[in-house]
Amino acid sequence: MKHMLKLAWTLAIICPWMALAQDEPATGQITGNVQMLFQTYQEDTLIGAQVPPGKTGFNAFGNLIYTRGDFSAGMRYESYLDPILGYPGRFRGSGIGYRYANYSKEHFEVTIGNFYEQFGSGLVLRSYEERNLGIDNAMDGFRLILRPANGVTVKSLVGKQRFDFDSRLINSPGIIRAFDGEINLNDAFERWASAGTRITLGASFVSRFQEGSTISKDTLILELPQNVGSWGYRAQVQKGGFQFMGEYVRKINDPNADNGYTYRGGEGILLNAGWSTKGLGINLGFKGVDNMQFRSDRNLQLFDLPVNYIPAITKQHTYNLAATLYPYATVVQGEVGWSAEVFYTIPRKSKLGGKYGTKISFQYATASCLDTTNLTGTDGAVYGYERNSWKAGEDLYIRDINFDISRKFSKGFKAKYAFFHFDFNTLATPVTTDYKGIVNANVHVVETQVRIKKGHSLRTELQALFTGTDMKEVDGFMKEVKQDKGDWATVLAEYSVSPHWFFSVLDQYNFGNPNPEQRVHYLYGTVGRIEGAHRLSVGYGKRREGIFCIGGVCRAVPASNGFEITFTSSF
Amino acid sequence: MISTSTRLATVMAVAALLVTGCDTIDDPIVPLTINYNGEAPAPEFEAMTTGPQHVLLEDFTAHQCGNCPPAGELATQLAEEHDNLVHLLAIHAGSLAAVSNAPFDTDWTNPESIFYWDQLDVQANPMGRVNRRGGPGAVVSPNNWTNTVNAELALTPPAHLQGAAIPDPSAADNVHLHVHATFAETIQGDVRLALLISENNLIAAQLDYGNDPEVIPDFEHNHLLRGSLSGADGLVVTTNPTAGSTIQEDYTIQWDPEWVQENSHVLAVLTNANGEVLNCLDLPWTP
Repeated sequence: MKHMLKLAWTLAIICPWMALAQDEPATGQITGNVQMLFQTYQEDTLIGAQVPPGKTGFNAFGNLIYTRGDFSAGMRYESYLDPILGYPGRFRGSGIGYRYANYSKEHFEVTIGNFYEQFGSGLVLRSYEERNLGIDNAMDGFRLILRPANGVTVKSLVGKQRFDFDSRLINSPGIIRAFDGEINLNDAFERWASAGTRITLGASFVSRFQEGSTISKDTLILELPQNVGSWGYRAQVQKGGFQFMGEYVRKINDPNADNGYTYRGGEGILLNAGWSTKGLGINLGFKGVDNMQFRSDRNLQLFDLPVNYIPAITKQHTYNLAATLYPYATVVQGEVGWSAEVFYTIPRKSKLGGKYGTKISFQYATASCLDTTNLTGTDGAVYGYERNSWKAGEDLYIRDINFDISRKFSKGFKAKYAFFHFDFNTLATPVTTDYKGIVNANVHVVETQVRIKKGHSLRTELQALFTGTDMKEVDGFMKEVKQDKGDWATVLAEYSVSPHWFFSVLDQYNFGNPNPEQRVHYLYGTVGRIEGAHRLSVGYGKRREGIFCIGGVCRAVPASNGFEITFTSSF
Repeated sequence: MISTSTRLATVMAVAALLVTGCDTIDDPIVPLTINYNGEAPAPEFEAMTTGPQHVLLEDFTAHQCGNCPPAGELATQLAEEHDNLVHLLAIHAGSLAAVSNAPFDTDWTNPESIFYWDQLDVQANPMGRVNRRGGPGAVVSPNNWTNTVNAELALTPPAHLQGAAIPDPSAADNVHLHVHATFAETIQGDVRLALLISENNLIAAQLDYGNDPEVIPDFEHNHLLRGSLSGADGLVVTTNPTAGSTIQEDYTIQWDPEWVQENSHVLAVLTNANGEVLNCLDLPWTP
């Protein structure tokens, strides 16, 4: 395999220079992109900003992709000198962190080296990169995709997952073997071709091999399964404006660090149904997962080596206060939740809709613990608990109710109002050390965008977050005390001079902190310039410590104060 | 177009993965085995046709349980009244056994004590079990210990135990344990043997509501369950033994240096399939 990889890399390196030198597109094409992030750190005791020994951080990567006909090869060169705070601290040095070669024909496709893959919604397998979180569980091995007939796709892969980076790629101890089959009935069968209902069915199987013999637990010695299998079935149906997606997954006994090394099997259901017509859309979702966390190393937790992905039931918010103070992270050990979402556009040129129409959306989402009974004695040590039903258990994890309305008033002005209500369990998602329990928070956001003159626009956001109150004894009297760090406000102003310049100022202010000394302004300013596909920005200011989430996966980010320079480019 | 042989190979690969990719384990518990490796042959015991019923009195206690010392005194009194017949285990478990600020900063719990605590139908301190009669979950409050212990002592035992604990003269950390059982009646199901270690003269804090001050910093803890050599549940040593049959178990264990051997007891506890004690014995230390 090493020889094959060397050959592929040699081709990838030599061929593009031939192409560039001879300027002949027939010899192939090379594309790529670069991103660099340089950060300086200053001490700031007020916000608890940390200063690493090197006082700076530098994360960078560059992709080079060579394509010729059915063949492509690429690599990503990465640098962590030293890693930006909040990134996995063990990422170190510079080197090649991703490399692959791919050959694709009509009926098959082969990839060697690194690749990303997802089966269905990812409940049994999702290999992906989320660079902002420092997550990269790329596969490293072989993948074969067959398309034996119209509408039929069979994927199979064998490999290890990326775990670490220390001037080179470091893979997981476990080996992943997987296949996935999917059939689109309308494409596969002629008599279905013209049917109004489109149906896709799929099934997956994923197995992890990791060496292991026994573990000691309480007074027991337990045999470890070396091969752990997970499988799932899925269906997708679409007819007119209606669509439905359902997936059901299982996993056999997989004692691991997440589940306290218990032998209970895993199970999960994901259902989504939606209906839309002109100006109106409705989505309903249900998710139940029980012990479905799956990793290529049974002894790891958090972000390390996930084989699968458990999506969040809540929407990923983008406004500063709604997104960063109480972001919900999926409780991978088990949770049950549902959501309902409605979109409506009040028609343009109507009394309520105005000249350009008015958009409204509403979402309700909730997740709770599972309805379980803890087992005792030996059964408790070996199996942990029994699930009684897919009903919600006693502990609420999150209730997220949000609403927004937006309207374009004229060619030069549009505005949006958004409201969020969170009942957020800080024990389930520990975003704060100042409060244990359910935080009730309301967030109001007003966003405006004004076109000042040709090429000049100003976008502003005014945000306020108000936490609930608890009765507490203060100086011998019962008083209402604000939950957690109290109330916050954020002001954001972005001024753009297209196509080249942009300026922004963000101030996050904890004006309602019960401790007056902690009523801090987190002020951050940015200036940047864009030249085609190249973008350079320089920022300076304070960043609050907190939890940064993408898609229900979250990472703790420390407070910082200093300069941040970013450069991105693609070619 | 994909050839038939390619399709066949794919199907076979998928089938092979399905078959080999899952290690479903119905019973992951690995039976614990301990071997005997003494240089001298294990002592031989004659079948024991008569003998008394010994009583295991388990006292669930805790260092921050202010009502527990009187129960401990009662247990000690019962053991002294019935010398070598009533065997005590002071089992520290429950929330009152938790470690907190000094002077209650010693953790007296262990996997065995937590295991036994989890078995109880009523989890409270002080509380007891007497020969685990009624099963591992059945508890006896201290008020009923005297009557229950006396009732147990009056029973004819279904099995008789003999044995010895012999420190290895050549390997200081090794102790050889020998347990011989003679079954006086047929027993249905698995019979388990647990070897439990208790230690005396452990000086540490104890809350005692009957004392002034209530916190006694240098309380003498006796019969404190330190651990086991065979798992809390013990090892299955025989199944469906008939009346008159005998078994002998010989083990060599490495003594935990944290346990002061001179102050320690090795208690052999023989239980039936319901977890009830058939008989028990404080293995005599033999030079």
